[in-house]
Amino acid sequence: MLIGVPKEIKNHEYRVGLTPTSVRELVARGHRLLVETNAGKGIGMDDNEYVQAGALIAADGKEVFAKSAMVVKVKEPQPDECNRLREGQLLFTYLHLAPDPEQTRLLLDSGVTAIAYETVTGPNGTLPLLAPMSEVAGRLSIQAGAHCLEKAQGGAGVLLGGVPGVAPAKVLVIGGGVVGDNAAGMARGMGADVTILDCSLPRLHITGR
Amino acid sequence: MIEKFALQADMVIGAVLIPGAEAPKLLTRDIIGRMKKGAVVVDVAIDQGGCFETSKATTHQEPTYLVDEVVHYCVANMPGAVPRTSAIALNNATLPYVISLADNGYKAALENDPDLLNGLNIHQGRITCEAVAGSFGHNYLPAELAIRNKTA
Repeated sequence: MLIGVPKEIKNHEYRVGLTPTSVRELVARGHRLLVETNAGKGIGMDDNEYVQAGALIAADGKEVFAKSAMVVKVKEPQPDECNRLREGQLLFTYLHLAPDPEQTRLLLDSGVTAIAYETVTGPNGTLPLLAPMSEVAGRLSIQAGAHCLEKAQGGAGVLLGGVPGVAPAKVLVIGGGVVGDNAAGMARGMGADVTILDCSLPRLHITGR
Repeated sequence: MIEKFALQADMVIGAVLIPGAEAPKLLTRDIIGRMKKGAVVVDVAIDQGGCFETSKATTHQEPTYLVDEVVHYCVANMPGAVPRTSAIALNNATLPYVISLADNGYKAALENDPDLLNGLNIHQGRITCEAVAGSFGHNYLPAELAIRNKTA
């Protein structure tokens, strides 16, 4: 199958649908990969790395959408991208259609087959393609929050983990899902005094370990 | 319980997400006003409307603001701050599905994997996800019928 990876065009979006590692795996399975030039440049994955993994480089997004049987992205397609999709083509990306009637209409009009990362399910009601971003957000929340506790950021001027002789900061995590679990783990690792609140005792058994 | 711990806290992380629905408001403006001065609240649910009454979405360029001397960090799309880690983490999760779709074609891949089939939102001009159709008052074609009706 010819799989296309356009460069993300949404403002300040540097993630990319397929990394060179993923490309190498797909090429090894006999697929052809077409990656827009500079698709991964913002995160240190340059065209040369994609070429070494076996991808062809496309000069622009238009070519990627025109030639690919499947388009793999990160963010929901912007109107310009929607207009390049067609019947018989497969789109695999985050869509978040519920609050977005315009995108929904454009995708319906295009005839494309669109699979949304966020509604793919896993065992026990989990969302396996949402979970990695929840893990990142949960861990990052403590790193960002610790910075905000610094005086220059408007914070109380408190070091999250304290030092010997000075008590650490008290962190309250509300919600013991993937985000809360990762936040709590990071806060504990930085030496904070952590409390987690959740309505579900089974969740607390997992998060409180 | 939330109020008691919030008033003692130096940092509160709002991590309550209900898939597809607006996040519940866990901290009221009143509680925020009585928190420690210089405390920090981080609203990870901001993409779903936020879980603190005083939350409004901010950007990575201008991430924080103050309400009653409590620092609010409410950046939308937080993983965008660390896109290299996020892209690799996302690929680790998506690659098995990309392989299945590429190796088998979407029709066989979806037929053989009900979890992946739940991901089908739109197929050849029809909405195939009940939650999406519901939010627009649209009718929808169940995904398993959509892929059976038409040929790949």
